[in-house]
Amino acid sequence: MRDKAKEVKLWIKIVCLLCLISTSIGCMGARETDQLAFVLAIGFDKADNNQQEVTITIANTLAFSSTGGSGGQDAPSYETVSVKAPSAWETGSLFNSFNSRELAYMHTKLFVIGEETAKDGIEKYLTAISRFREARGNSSLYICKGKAKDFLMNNKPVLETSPAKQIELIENTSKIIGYFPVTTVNDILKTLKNLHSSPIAGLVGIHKTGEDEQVEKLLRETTDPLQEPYYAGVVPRTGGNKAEFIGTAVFNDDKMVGILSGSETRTMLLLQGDLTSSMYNIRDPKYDNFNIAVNLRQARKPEIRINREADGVKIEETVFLEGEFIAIESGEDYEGVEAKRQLEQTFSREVEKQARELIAKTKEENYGDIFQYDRYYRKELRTWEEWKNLNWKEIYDEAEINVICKTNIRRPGLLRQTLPILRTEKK
Amino acid sequence: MIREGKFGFAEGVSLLLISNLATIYLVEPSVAVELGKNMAWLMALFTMVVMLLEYWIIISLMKRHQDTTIIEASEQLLGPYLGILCNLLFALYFIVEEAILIRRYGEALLTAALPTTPISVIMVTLTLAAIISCYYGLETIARVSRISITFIFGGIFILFMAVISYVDVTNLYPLWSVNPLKIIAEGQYKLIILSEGLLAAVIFHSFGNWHNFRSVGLLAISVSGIIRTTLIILLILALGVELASEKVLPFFNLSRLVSFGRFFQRAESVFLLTWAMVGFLKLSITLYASTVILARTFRLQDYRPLLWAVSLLCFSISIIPPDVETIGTLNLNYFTVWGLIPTIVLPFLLLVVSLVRKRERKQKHTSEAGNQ
Repeated sequence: MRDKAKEVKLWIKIVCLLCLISTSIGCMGARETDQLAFVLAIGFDKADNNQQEVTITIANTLAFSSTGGSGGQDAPSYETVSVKAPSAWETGSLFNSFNSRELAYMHTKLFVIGEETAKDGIEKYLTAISRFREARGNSSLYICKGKAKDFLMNNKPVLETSPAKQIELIENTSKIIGYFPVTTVNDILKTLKNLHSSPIAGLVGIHKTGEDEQVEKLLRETTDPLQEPYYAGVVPRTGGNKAEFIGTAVFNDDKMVGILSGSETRTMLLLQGDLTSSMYNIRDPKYDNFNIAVNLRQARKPEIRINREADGVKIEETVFLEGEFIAIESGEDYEGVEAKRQLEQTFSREVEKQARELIAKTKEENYGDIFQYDRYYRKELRTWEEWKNLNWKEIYDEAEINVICKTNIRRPGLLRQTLPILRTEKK
Repeated sequence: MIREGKFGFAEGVSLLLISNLATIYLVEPSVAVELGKNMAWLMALFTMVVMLLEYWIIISLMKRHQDTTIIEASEQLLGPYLGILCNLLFALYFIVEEAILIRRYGEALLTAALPTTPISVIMVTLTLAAIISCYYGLETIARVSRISITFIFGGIFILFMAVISYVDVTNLYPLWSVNPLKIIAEGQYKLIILSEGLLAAVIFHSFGNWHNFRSVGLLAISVSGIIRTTLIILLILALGVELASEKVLPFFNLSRLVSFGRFFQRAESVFLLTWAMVGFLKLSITLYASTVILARTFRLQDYRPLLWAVSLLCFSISIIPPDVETIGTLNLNYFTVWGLIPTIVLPFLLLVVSLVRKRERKQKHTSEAGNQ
């Protein structure tokens, strides 16, 4: 009898163990990495006849996994394909008509929206991305000058094997040069849904050799070294990857209405308080044919004061820059205290002029507030209803905005003074 | 005689705290932001105060009935028929809460992590886990809660620290923008339901004495209130009112923001473990409460034979709503409103009856003493 009970217990244990083993092999949604095609970047474009064109860049895991021999290492590290369909979301199914692996979006680093599509409105894409479990709100979103398909097809990173790493690293350069804003899906959604100001997105494009005339025109018009009038697609250069990241796309609500150049973007980031650092070049105040280069960073967040007065709203913003000399072409001794102070003041006035011009442009072109001043204006309000029904665009357009720049060139680099070359001194 | 065992102060606090924290992982913080806008943090603080008052009612009731649990106390105060009816209402409350939670946690796990797993499989797993935990008893659940609370606190603390870089303080303005009375009138009542008061009164003997019972509950509700308020503040600051109001699982959404440099990203699966822990424990505690109430009401020697029947009932109820929206509406528009009857109204009535009875007894004693 006892042996029988023991036997029953043993069988119960075996059955329990078998159940445990059979249920521990993974959840029902488990997918092996060799079953998946990891989408690194997605581009959305408007096509003819009310069609949508979606382009995706897929990582070729074969290229990374091979340790030598035939195949693997010679294979391209990614593949870019595009599909047209009446709906952008339908294209996802069509991709699998020629792709053996299931598309996985958990590693998607970049969303690119074509210029024409952006002009029609981007909210439907943003909400779909934020609703979809696999897509991530902190993925980057850029607007392409031209078609997103052209950008993804022609983007051939030279120094990186993966476009995902290329994006991550190029976004780091934004912190060094400040010519384009790093914008994520969440950033744009936050401005779009929470604020009355105008959303912005980084601008990307493909360098077009056929547009040399436009480049030449910009080159001819640009005489001030502080100005960087270029935007994605028209940077005067030869060689390298065709993909360019420079400039900003500006939106009214969710519709793209204009673009900002590299230096305008830098000024916008400075006024927003998001400029990490940038190399500024100004004309030498004493010598017209020489330039001075300084590397400046935003010393601290801007001070923004908003006054509601009888004749309208007055916004006063003070920005703080500090840094070091990179080059003084003229050899003038600007390292001295008094000369440096004068140079700092000249530089500050130039930055203030750029800020004034940009603010005027946003008002003339009907861009609205791209600096998010409404974040500070809401402190002046008392009720949520007042905030919800605020006509901020009108207030912004009529507001008197005054920008004050305070620059401190703290260090001269590795030279404490510049002495003239001997021959020049003898003369 | 049902043997529930005894546990210490830390186990008691962990048990009630985990039970009270369960809803922060679901849609409730989003609902709070939707109702209170940028003043939802004040609403969360107010909720905490109301919950403490609710617990105070239970404390005052149990002070007068320290030899019994609320089940026996209600029969003593209301008589056998009304008392049983009152206890059945308590049991029904926990059964419905269990059913709603099984479905909500099932849907949350499915939405966040297991999209292709059938909902029934997830719900069966959750129910089985609750049955097994209850089978081992309250003492075991309390000790597991004590061990888990370290990881749960760790997860919450790391998340709060990690999202600080996304904070925009201007999202809190305009300050005092919403009329607090309007918020209370329109929706505060949806968030003040406190099942832990009733739960603590059902397992009263396990706390050892009334003083422990009082301190454990007050501490658990206060800590939970502070965590809930902090979460709501961070939601407003990191996402903004409008974006935070849209989210189905705001805690999960916050955890998706976490990234340290290029390598430490996509950490939500780590945080998922902590909220799965809370979910499993909450379901176990609730199932335990519903079966024990029924066992005590019907004077059964053991609650375990009821586990299968009650869990089957909970599972069957939970599978009825056709979609997430329906279960959400049922929860917010009906359960949180009608649930106030067994959690606030009935305990308060019992307290009033207890006070009246005491006065009557006193008067009787005085008149008897006068006659003598």
